[in-house]
This record gives sequence, structure tokens and C-alpha cells, in this order.
Amino acid sequence: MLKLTKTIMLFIGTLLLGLTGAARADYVTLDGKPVTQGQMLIADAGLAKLQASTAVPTPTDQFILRQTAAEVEITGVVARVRLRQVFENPYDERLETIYVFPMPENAAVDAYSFRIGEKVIKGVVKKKEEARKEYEQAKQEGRKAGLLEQERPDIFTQSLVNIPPRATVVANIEYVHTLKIDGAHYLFSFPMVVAPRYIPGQPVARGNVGRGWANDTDQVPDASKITPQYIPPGMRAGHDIDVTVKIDAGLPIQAITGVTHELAIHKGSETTATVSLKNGPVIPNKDFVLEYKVGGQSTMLAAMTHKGEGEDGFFSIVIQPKHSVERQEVAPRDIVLLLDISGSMDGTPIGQLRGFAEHILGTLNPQDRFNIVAFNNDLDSFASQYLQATPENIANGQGFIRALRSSGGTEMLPAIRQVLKPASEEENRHAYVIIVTDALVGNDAPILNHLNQPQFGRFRIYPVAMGSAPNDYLIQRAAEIGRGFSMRIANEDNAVEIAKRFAAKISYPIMTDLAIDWGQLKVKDLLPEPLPDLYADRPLVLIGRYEKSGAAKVKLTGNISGQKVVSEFDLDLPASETAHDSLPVLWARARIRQLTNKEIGNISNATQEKITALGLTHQIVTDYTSFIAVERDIPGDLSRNLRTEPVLLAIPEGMDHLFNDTTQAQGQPIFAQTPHNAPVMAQAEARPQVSAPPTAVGTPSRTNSGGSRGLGGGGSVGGVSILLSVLLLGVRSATIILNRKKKYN
Amino acid sequence: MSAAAFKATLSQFKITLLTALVLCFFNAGSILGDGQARWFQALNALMEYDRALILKGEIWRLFTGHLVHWSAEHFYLDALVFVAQGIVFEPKIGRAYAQVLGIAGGAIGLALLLLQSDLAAYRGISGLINTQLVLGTGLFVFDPNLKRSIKGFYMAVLSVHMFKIAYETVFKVPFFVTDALGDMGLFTPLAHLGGVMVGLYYLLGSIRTEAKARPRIEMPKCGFTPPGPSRD
Repeated sequence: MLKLTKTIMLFIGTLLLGLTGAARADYVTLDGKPVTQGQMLIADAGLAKLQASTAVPTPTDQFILRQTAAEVEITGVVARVRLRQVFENPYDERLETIYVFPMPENAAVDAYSFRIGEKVIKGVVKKKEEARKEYEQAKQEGRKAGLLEQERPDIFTQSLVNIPPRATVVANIEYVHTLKIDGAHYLFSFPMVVAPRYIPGQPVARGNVGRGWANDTDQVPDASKITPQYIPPGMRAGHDIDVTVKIDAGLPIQAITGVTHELAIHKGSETTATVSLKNGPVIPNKDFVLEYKVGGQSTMLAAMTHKGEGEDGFFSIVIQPKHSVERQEVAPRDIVLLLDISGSMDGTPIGQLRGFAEHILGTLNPQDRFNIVAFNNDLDSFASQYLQATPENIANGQGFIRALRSSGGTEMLPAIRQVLKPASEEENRHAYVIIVTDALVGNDAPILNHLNQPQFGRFRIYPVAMGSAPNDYLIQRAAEIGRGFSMRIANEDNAVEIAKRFAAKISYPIMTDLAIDWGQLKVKDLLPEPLPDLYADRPLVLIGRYEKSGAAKVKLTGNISGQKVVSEFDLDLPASETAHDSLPVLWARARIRQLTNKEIGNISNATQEKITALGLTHQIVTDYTSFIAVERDIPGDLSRNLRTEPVLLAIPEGMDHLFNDTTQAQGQPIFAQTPHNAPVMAQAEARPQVSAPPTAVGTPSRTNSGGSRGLGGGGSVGGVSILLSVLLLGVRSATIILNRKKKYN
Repeated sequence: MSAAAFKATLSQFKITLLTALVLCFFNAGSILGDGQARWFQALNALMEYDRALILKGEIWRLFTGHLVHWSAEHFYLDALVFVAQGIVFEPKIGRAYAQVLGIAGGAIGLALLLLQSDLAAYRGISGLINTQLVLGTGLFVFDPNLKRSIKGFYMAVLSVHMFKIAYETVFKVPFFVTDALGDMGLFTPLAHLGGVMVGLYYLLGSIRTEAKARPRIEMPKCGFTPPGPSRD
């Protein structure tokens, strides 16, 4: 009898193990680890291809960019980045290669050169057309040349021509930018890939100006320049990126966190550290984001100066006024959540969007009013007008948010037009527009131009950037123009935690009407101008020029909830200072930013000239100036044919769904199939969308939870529980049967 | 089997079967599909554990959140395991079964509320499954009437499960989860741990009660073993 029991148990066990194995056989992870929630699932059929592609990416000759290394030096609040890009011509012909790559939106590119063999050819900044002309001429003459152009403040194109057969070229690019600061937290971001952007508008009659996958349209006339091609799905980029960051914070470093990547951290002294990627070079498919926390409670967080002999001096100061402010005594607010539910938000970002937006709704005060507008190709409003933030309305609003799913294109401009309306006389309350989006659109300028209209003065804009590689330019400028601030939710972040931080910030009073009394100091060309409003824990970063040296007590005044507040700090502007030579460049970039913001989307000739002059004087790349480097010593070689190839980019993390088999050969996102991109994206990405009721109070409904941390908990059993349950059932049944048999025997 | 015998057999699992029917009803939205089940989805939204709304007074969500699920797959897996284990354990746990599930539901909800402030919403019956598994296997393990080999089996099941819970609690990742779970939100080890704690609490209570009730047998000094109760 015992033997029979054992046999039955063995049979059941074997059967269950087999079943479990069979159930798991469809999906595996690349590294062979157990499949867990949040990991990419790869069908077996595709695994072989992907594994093969990891070992031998694709036919070798498709990869021209071999390696990128970024060496970063952070001093105080300024980061200098030295990029080294190694290109290789795998062909027996001369090669021209075009590489579209991202940079931080506030980066000032101030050095460019390329090396071929032992020879280094340095670039100089010239007017954009002039530089392009020289490049084309060099191309015709067979001379080696490099051209670095700005397409957007955060998208650059490097063209290298006449790379000899089988030769290697190393391009070196340097840029500086200031860090983002939030309280004691300093954020350094290094973008690695330009994510595919939705291109709205009608195609223009002329030919495309660039070589990207999108056609130029009336809304995005340079669409073909900002839409680089991608590695086919299932394959990986031919090059990795290595990042090393040396931090000299000037203040005690309390903690360093790798937001998006695992880090190896070596602490030097109390104020210095060196950080590198823990697992070596990585696939360039998402931004590298590093955050560190510093100690110290002084009002002046950082002060840097630079002054050459007989020249004007430059200074940069970071001030964080210390005031004991109480949470705002509920000034009634109108809050609009403008939620991007386009196809590019699919996956982790849409789950995080739900978590973030739901939490924000939960923090509203009863006297606040709110509305929710979700947009992709269409607009879907929770209510036709602002609703009072009653518990019922909030619960219904949260139900509306939970039902949101991502698909379709990113028609952001109509959504903003819908939300921003001139205030009527009775609408004199503060209005906060919180835009949760990855901002992956090509029509940045019309959007920013609309936000810049003076009749929308009562609105403050708070963009929240989502995803692995958001459009940082649009996010930052929208916040700046809209007198708000931005936040970032990386795929690895806890959306609810960030929502808490965000809600806390907008519930503290804002310091307005800022003014500075410089005392005896002769300060000029101070930026930003006018001074922005100051939020709790957000420092004021100023950069300016001075004529004469001196020291003085500087007084910053402002207005918090109707009360005048004053902060004082000492500032010493030296007669000579050779350090911090990047300050003039940073000042020029800030000045260009100010000029551009005023006329965004419609830059006048006079402003273009001013920007050009700044670019040429400070030798930085702008919309109207480019770096050009031409080898002039050696005569050109025209003996071989010239072949032109773009550098293919890695598909940004979490965006594989935007690419399918039919576009594999082209490496284009699925919305690039026809000349008229916008409606095609809508069709191609269209999935069954559960949209909440279009008007008035939405029915609380939730079709699925997001994958976001902190949003929805799934109390769920796993494979072990299933196995144990069936075993229990089997053994219990067998025991009962055997007992009965025994009884009757 | 006669009708009376069948009825008697079913009555042993009546709470399990009743709960299964209730689960089927509340999860009809997931079963029928998104487009045809708006009413059920609305109902589910009223039932799910929602931290903000619980704090505003909707305390029924502490209990009802266990009865709704995020997706059809989530529901099927949970319901399958719940019914399978209920059939095994309900007769063993006996009259206290319904009470155990009710207490566990409230305790798990309360634990999530007090200890996991970043959890906005929660759905799923797996916490209760943990309670019934720990209590049920524990009762078998401590059943003096069972053969040692059978006890060993239940002990092994309990050990594997406790290891799983410890692993999940420490590493915050599901242990050997099936890929069918799909997009169902945050993995919530605290709910499982809460379920286990309630199960252990009842188990200890049961052992103590039984020890008090059991007549003390004096062991003879000569090594004579008194006749034990009849073997299962």
C-alpha cells in the first residue's frame, strides 16, 4: 500500500513539474534568470535571434560608431563633459557618416576636434551656412572634414566625411552645463539616445532637409533632421557607452545614487568622489541619471568667478534663501492634470503616470478645483469644466485615471490649447497645469510659443518628464516659460514618492517679486532676466558679468504670501581669477536661452544676429553657428567612391513596441510608414482603448493596473503556490482513497 | 455516491465553494473582458484596497480588496489555488475557517495601511491563501493521528512556503513566479507576510488549546510505550 502511495505521489509530482515546465517554456529572460514582473519577456522564437545578435550584433559592416566614452568633471554646480566617439570605416570606399545624438538641453558645446592616425584636426565655430559650405567643399575635394551642428538645444548632428577605407577616426566633443538642484540633491543627467518623436502636421512640398525617417511637415519643417534611424528590433547597438564622473562638490557629499544605472563609487575626500558604471560600458538606450546629496545649510550654495586681464569678469552664484515658511494656508487653486497617453508612454511610463496623477488628486484641498485632460491623437476630458475637489469627485477622477491606456500619437499642442484659455474676470485664482509626458514630439517651438502668450499669465506650468529618454528641451523650457518647475520620473523611480515631493512643493508658498541689491558691486548682464519665482527647496542660479572687482554684502528680497523677506550673503568678485574658465561660455549659453525664450518659434533677424555673434565670440555651437574641422595640409583623395551611412541608434529602453517587423529593415518606428506621419501613428499604434466617459464625472473603472512601483499592489500567487496547491490536493485525495480502501479491506 | 453523501461531501467545502462563487461574481469584469463589463469594473473600483479612500473612511476596502483582481489571469491563478487549498484545508480547519479568512482579510488590509504607505491600491486574494496554507499545513503537521511520512510531506510543503515568503520579503521580488501574471502592478510581499502571520497566530492558538484539552499520560519509567490513538 505504501508503495502504491509513493507511486501515486511520484506520478503527480512528475506531472506537475512537467506541466510547470511546459507552462514556463514559452518565455525566458535573456540572462536565464527566473521571469519576474517587470522584466522583459522574450518569446523563445526570438531569443535565438537576440542572443545571436548580442554576441555578433549584426553584419559587422553595419556599425560605424564603435565606442563612446564620456568623462565628466563636476565642480560645484558645473559639469564639464568630454565625449570621445570612435568611428571606423568598415568599407573599401571612402565614408561619410552622420550621427544624430543628444546632449543636455542647457549644454554649451565649446570644443570639437577629430583625430585620424596621429593627426588632430581642431574645429572652429563659424556661421552655420559658412561651416556647411566648407564641409561640402571638403567633401567634393576629398579632404577629411567634420561638422557639428545643433538641430535642437538637446539634439546635435555630427557629420564626418572622407574617412579613408578601413580607417579609424576619433571625434572629441566637449561641453559644459549646470546641474539641476532640488534642495540638497544635485542631479547630473547624461542623455545617450534621441528617442523617436511624433511629427505632427502636413508634409511640405519641398524635399526633406535631412536624412531621418520622418518627412518635413508644416509644423516641423526640420523633422527629417531630428528623426534618426534605429537598429532593427531584436538587435543591439554596435557600440557601448562608458561613463566616468568625477565629483568635486565643494560641500560634504552625503549620498550618491545611480537613478538609472548601477554605479561603482569611490569616495576620495569628504567632498569628492569618482563614479563609474558598475558593470562596465552599457547599451546607449536610456539617459544616465546620477543624483547626489550634499550637506551644509548656508544660503550661498556655490560661488564661482573668472576674470582675465583687462576683460570683464564672470560670476555664477547659487543661492537658497532660508526662511521658515509654513505650508500655504489653502489659497484656492485650479489644477489641471494634462496626461500624455500616447503610444510612446506604453509600458512602465503609463503605469507611473497613473500612480503619479492619482496621488496628486488625493492631495487636493476641498476648496481647490480640478480637471483632467488625457491626450493622444484625441482629447479626453474628465469633465467639461473645473470640478470642486470633493471626495466623490476625486474618487471619480482617480477612476478616470486608472482607466487610461496608452496608444496613438502625441497631439500635445491641441491639448495645451484646450487647457490654456484666457482668464475670465471671475477666474482670478492660481491655475496650475501639470503636464505628465515624455514630450516626444517634434513641434517643440509651436508648443513653447503657445505657452509664451501673455494672456495665459494666470497659469503656471509644471512638466513631469517620463520614460527612458524624454525630450528634455521641451520639458525644461515649458517649465521656465510657464514659471513653474519640472520633475523627472525615470522608469526606475517610484512615481508615488515623486508625486509626494511634487505635491509638497506646490503646497508651499512661492517667493515672488525677487530683486537683488548688489551694494557697491558693478554687476551687469545678469541672467536669468527677469528673475524667476522661487519654489521651496529650489535654489536661484544666477550668472552675470562684472566690470570692477570688490566685495560687498548682497541683499536678495522677495515676497512670500504678501510678506517681504530678505536674505543677505557676502560676495567677493576678484580682480583676477584664472579658474572656472567655462563661465563665459555658460553665460553666453544662458544669454542665448534668454533671447530665444522671448521669441520662441519666431526668432527675429536681429535676435538671430545677436545669437550668431555670441556663438562666434564664445566659440560655441548655436542654432546659427556650427563647429567645422577640415584637414587642409594634405590634398584630398578622390580615388575611391564615397559612401554615406548614418549611425544607427539603439531603440530606447521600453520602446520596442514602436517598432515592428515590417520596419526592421529601415530601423524606423512604426509611425514612419507613410509621408503623412501623424494619422499613421494613430492607426499603427491603435489598440483597444478603454476611455473613460468623455464628459462630466467619469465612472470609476480600472481595466488593469500599471506596472509602476507604488501604484497598484498585486496580491498574487506564483508558480510555487500553484505547485504546492496541486500537490496538496493530490496527496490529500490519495490519502483519503487509500484510507477508504484500507477501511473496506 | 448517493445524493446525501454528495451533499455531505460538498458541505465540507461549503465556505470555499461559496467564496469561489463570490469571487467569480466580483471578477466577472475580468472574465468577460474590458468592453462588456463596465459595471463590474466600477464595482471593483469601489471594492479595491485604496489607501487614500480608506483613510477617508471607506474601511470596507480593507476586506473587499481581497475579492477583486487586476486581470483575468490574476483572478484565474488566485482562484485556482484558493479553491484547491480550500478543498484540502477547510475540513481540517473546521468551523473556524470563515472566521480565519475574515480576520486575515482585515489584518492584511490593516498591515498594508499601516506599514506600506507607498501602496496606493491593492487587489488579490493571495494574502488569504497564505493564511489558509500556513494554518492548514500546520494543523496537519501537529495532528497526532497522522503518519510520520504524511506529516513529513506537510512539513515539507510548509517549509518550502515559508522559504518562499522569507525570500520574497527579503528580496522584494516574486519567487518562481509564472509569466502568466503579466501586468498586475506592484508585487506586494507584505500582503503575503501578513497572511502568514495570521495563519501562524491561529495555528499557535490551536496547538495551545489542544495541549490544554489533551489528557496527560504519565510515561512509565520502564520504557513501556502506551498505546497511541488510531493511525490515519
